[in-house]
Amino acid sequence: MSPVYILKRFCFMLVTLFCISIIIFAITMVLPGNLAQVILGEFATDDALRALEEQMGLNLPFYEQYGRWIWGVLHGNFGHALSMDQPILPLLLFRLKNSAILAAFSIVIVTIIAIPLGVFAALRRNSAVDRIIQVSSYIGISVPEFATGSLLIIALAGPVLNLFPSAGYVPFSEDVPKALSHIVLPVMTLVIVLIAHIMRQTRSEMIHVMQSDYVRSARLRGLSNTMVVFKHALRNALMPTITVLALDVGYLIGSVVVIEEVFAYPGIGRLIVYAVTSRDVPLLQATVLTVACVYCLVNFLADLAYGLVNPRIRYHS
Amino acid sequence: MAGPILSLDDVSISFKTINGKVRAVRHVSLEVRRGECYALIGESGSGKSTLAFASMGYLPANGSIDSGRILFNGEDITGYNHAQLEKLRGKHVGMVFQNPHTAANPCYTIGEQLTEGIIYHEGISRAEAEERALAMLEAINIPDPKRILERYPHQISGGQKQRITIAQALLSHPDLIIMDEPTTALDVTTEIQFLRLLEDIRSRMDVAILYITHDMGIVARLADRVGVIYAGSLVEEGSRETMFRHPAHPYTQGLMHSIPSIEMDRKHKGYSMPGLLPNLISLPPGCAFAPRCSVAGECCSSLPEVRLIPSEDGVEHRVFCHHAGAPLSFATGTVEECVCHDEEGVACSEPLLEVRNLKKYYEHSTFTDRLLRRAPRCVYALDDVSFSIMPGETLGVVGESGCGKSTLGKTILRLTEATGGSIFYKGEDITHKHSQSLCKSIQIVFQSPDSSLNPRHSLYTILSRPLLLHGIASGRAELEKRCFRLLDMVSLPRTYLYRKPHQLSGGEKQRVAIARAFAVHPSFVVCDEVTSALDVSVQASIINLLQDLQREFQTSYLFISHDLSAVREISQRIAVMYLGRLVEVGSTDQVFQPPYHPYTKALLSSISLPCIPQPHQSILLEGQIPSPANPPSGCRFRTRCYRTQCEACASVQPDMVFRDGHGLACHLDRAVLEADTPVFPESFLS
Repeated sequence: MSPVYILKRFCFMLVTLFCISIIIFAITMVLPGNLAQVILGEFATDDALRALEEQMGLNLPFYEQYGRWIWGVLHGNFGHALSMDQPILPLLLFRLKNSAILAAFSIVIVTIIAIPLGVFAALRRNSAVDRIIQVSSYIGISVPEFATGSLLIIALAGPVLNLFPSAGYVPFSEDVPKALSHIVLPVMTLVIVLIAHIMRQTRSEMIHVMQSDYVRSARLRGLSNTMVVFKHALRNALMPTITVLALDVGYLIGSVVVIEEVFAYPGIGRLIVYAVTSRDVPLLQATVLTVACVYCLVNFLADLAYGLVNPRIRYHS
Repeated sequence: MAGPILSLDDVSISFKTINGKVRAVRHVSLEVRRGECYALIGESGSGKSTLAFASMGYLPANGSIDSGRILFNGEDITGYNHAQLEKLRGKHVGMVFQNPHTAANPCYTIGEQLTEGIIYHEGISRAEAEERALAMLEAINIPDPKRILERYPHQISGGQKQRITIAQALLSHPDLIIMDEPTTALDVTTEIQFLRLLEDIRSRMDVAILYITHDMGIVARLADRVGVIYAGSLVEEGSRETMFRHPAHPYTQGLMHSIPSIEMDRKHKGYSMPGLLPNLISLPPGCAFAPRCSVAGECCSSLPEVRLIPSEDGVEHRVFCHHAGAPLSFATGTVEECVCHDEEGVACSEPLLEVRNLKKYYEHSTFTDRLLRRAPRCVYALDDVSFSIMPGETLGVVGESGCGKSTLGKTILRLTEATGGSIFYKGEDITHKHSQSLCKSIQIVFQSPDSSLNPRHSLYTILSRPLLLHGIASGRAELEKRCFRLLDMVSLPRTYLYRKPHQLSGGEKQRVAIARAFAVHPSFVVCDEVTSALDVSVQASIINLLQDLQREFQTSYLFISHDLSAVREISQRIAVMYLGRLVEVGSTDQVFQPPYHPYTKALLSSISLPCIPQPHQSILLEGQIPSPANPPSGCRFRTRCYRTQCEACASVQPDMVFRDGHGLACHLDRAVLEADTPVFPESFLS
């Protein structure tokens, strides 16, 4: 892959992140309520408010406030979480690590299960097996996450089959088997939810590619079925799947609040909700920006993966 | 006599569909002999491709062979299992497809795709396979074969790709190569190179070819024997000479007469076969061609037995017809030139449309370009194009794909803004003017009616939309009446009004597209490759229709096409384009006779005519057409020009010099060009 292509995609990512940071900052600025008021409470005097505003730089123009904030962020200083009165960074890293563990296990398992399922369903299109795969994956995506999670808890952590702990969290650094057993249920729930995405995308693209001229031509050159399907068809069919995978990783990091809640798992999703409910603006900015960074980074990786899969992209930059 | 490689014995193939069983091939028996080139011709939907795929044991899941045997080297392949079929396809039969652009996997290099088959089937090492691929590319004269092997499909041109597909097919030293319309997607100049390559391969290698096509010119050039297939049945078979000189089946004769050809008198209307291909689900008993046949009698309701007709060259001539050899008339009316008069009956002298120094550059600059203030990169799609069209006149525009002829149409319609120059319509500058009335006067008919007609709309909706839009008619009753008249105008039955496009044949759909354009009584219509997507038997009828409409409404056409025969038939004047510039403009006779622009001559000489032998020598253009983003300095054609060049050729762009209304843009002396030999013999162009 040409370095120019990588560099281009990387710069593109930086520009996107810059825009996002402005938007995030602007939105938190226009949120109703004065930050100083939040800190000092309802009964603060005007003088005290003004003094605090001055101290925090809240009376400065927008671009200066933004400049200070982003400067801090770039130096790893996200400020103080108002509601907890502690620096944001360690908190954020801890939660991000937890979310990343959950996301990594889920996405790897989803990929391993859903892509072969999709290929299989495409090759046996409209057969009974195809229908079963499709219907069951749809059930997985349509049932609300908390319902799936609760059902799993009842089935696998209930009084009958007490295989896994129903909730909580143990760090991997303490006890690996125990940590693993704690994430089994949330990962299972996430996998059930996400399989339909990946499976369907792979299936429809695979059906499309299997009808293409180059697959027919490969077949008429006498190549074996395995070569036609896995070498010629699958590689071309993976492009849209990569896109969906990248989006799903972003989703897994920032938007699985319900599942974190059901399994009492300390992920970044719950931290965002906490920041919102406790009107902790610096924490909100930091968490949302982190999730945005993950989205951008994953999409950058997806772009690189495109280049690897498809030479046309690689050589067109 | 050599034994047959492929022999079809009473083969019938059908497809199960929701509407019923489609009997795509019925009781076909034919054989392809060792080392021969057998051409299978027929209209689209006649079953010729189905036969080809079946010969490789490849049918879609809903297809089945109902009867008969397909023998390859004497072995019946209909009962072959997967492994046997793989071996057959990988070792003994090669295939070349219609569209070289989609037949190669975009993810792998040419080398990888060339070698994987022989590595798999012959168990040789990669290095050995690569060596063989290289040798094969060298054998078929592909320049710089080493680099080609490392390239990806999107990095090489269409003509090159098609040659590589041939190399691929030949690599396993097969006994037979099946070619399914391999040149349909190529330009004439590329096509002729491809055909030359085939001739060369046949002279050096012992390989039989089953060539599927609807192009009679190619058949005349290549084939040893010809089979004609109609509605799934073989109707006639014989040697090439017999089939061209003494065709016996009424369908073959009709097909031969409906080809728009250079040798035809332009004053005669083209012959078009009446009727349509029958529905293959509910075929009538007896001869399938009977409903379209002028000599059909009562006996035709029974299936015709094969008849052997004695031939001059001793090659078996088989005909499936009760009336084989019956005299038929293909006489057609004459075409009256459309001369435009004003109210007082004086012939018009003012051009309807005039284009002066029209330029269209597609600029594209990347973000970094703008950042570094670099000049934008340009694609010179149109450069200094000037011409005029009189009322009621047809100007044909010809050139290879990518020469800018479609951009010209689009720019005149102002679908895209001109970069420079001006367009005058009835003396008024309309270059940057957009108005409802101009849209009404200038219309377009596109190449493919499949994509230009909304598949979800009925013909009523399609035809009434422009009427409503331009306030010509309103109210259901009036609109319906108007639509009926439009259908009458393009000779479609009124019962079609509430049908959807997919219920119509290709030719009928194109008629609807023409009716839509004429709904608003335009005075100028751009016809962008309107016949290219249609079968030969239908092309003539579309051209006739356009000519009839022209006479009735005194419409002017800009007829864009790469088919020189069709352009010659319909156009009073022809403009030849190369890389965004006009190189020659003149009346049809002037363009077809010397003096020629060297490029025009190459184009004309690349045509394959349905005559044996070909009456002309072909000029092969060297190299690829340069990119319009980076055109050569001076004369744009100089990099491929086969004439001795002067100094000015490389440095100065030649101006269009007119003599008797015949313009040539070439630095060569007019006298030299005038002394050129005609491409076609005098007797041809009547």
